[in-house]
Amino acid sequence: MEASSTGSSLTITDLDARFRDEVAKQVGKLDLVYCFQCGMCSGSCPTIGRMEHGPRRIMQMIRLGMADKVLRSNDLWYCVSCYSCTARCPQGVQVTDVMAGLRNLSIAKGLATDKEAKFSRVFVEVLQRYGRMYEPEVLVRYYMSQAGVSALLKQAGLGLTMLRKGKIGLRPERINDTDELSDIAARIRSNGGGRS
Amino acid sequence: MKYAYYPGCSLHASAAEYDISWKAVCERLDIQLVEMEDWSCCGTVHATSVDRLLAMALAARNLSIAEETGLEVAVPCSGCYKNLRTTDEELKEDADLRERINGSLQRRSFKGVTAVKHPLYILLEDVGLDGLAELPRPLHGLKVAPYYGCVLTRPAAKQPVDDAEDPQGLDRLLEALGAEVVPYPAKTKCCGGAILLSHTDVSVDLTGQLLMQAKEAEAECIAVACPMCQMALDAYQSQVERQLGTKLALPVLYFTQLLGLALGVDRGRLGLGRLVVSPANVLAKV
Repeated sequence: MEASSTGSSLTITDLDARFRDEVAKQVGKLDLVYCFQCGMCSGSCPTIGRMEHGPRRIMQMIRLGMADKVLRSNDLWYCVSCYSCTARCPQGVQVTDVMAGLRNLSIAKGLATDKEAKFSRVFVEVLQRYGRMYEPEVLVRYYMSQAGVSALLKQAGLGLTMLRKGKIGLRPERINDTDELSDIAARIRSNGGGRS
Repeated sequence: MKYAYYPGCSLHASAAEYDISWKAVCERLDIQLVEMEDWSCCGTVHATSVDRLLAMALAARNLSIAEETGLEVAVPCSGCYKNLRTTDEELKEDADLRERINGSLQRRSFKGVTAVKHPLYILLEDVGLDGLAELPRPLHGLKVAPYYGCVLTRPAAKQPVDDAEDPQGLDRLLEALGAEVVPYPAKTKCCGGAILLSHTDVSVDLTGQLLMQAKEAEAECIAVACPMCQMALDAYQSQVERQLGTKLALPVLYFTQLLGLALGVDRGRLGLGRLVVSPANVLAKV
């Protein structure tokens, strides 16, 4: 019991043998099986200091089927999508795309708790509403969802600077048919996610 | 020379000075831009986090509009550029994926007949530096740190226009403008822009290291090619200064603004007053 509570050993019943294939389907390729755990990805990661596992260990956790631990990990949301790991992987693993695929699965299964998961969802909602980004609405909705008015007020100084510099649009821009993107999203979802 | 133009959301709002200066430069260099009809948001990294296929469909929608113009498409935001470029490459290669994405677009269709280009490499590859041979106002004596960020050069393109580890495009352009290019290790390190608003502290850490390196290398300003990088380095610089307990006052300019200056474009047409850290003192010498 001690061992499993520290997370240092595996319990066979916690493992999901299909997880590796589920991730591969989400990413569109199975290249992570070529990972030989050299650690180039974690060594190149600019946010490794914030992570519990880091990309190298996550690649192995996927192969072992540690679905729950991987999909609940905040590491997924500290990935800044800079593609340093992908550019340097000697085995050609698209590590950054794997991390994005894991974020997709984490949200789809309701396991994502990180602030960035909330931000991304609000962002996509606003995107679909107008067809173009309207940052003020994303920010207000996001900060209110996190810590309410106080979180929003903390940003007031920067907000005023941005307004003064003409960096905030006063009205959202819209595409001609604002239903078009919601329709595209609905058709993508009805296809059941994943690539094949 | 004529391109379809995909400004992306930032260039219509927070990065309007990038849009203004890029258009002014194009006018001076006889590059025609045709803004795409009814373009939509590329989805950025956030749509990719929610659903990679949705992000691809959003990019494909915009690519299909670009294709209708019969032109190659110019995309100044590195984030939009990466989304459009990688989707263009993937859909050209993978017929099944293309069919599936086109099924979601219904009234539109990605055909795979355009090419996605970033303005920096349009200038380097299509216009060529020879075209800049006689500059009215070269930037002699200005020490500039070129900052590439992540997704301008990564993930590597099928036919790369620059090196992912040690890109040279921005260095070459700045040298051609007469500026003194300052070397520093962080030129391709990430600014954390992808999680700037949710994990501001992460971005402030990353940009703090970067700005300090540029400062120690005696740069007087930083040149960027991406609105997210610009925002993280410029609008959040006061937060970095508070965290580090030191004054940086390092202006962060779009490369199009520096090019415009060297080309002798009227300063009022380069959006310099919209930068948060004022470049006035630094630019007084050029």
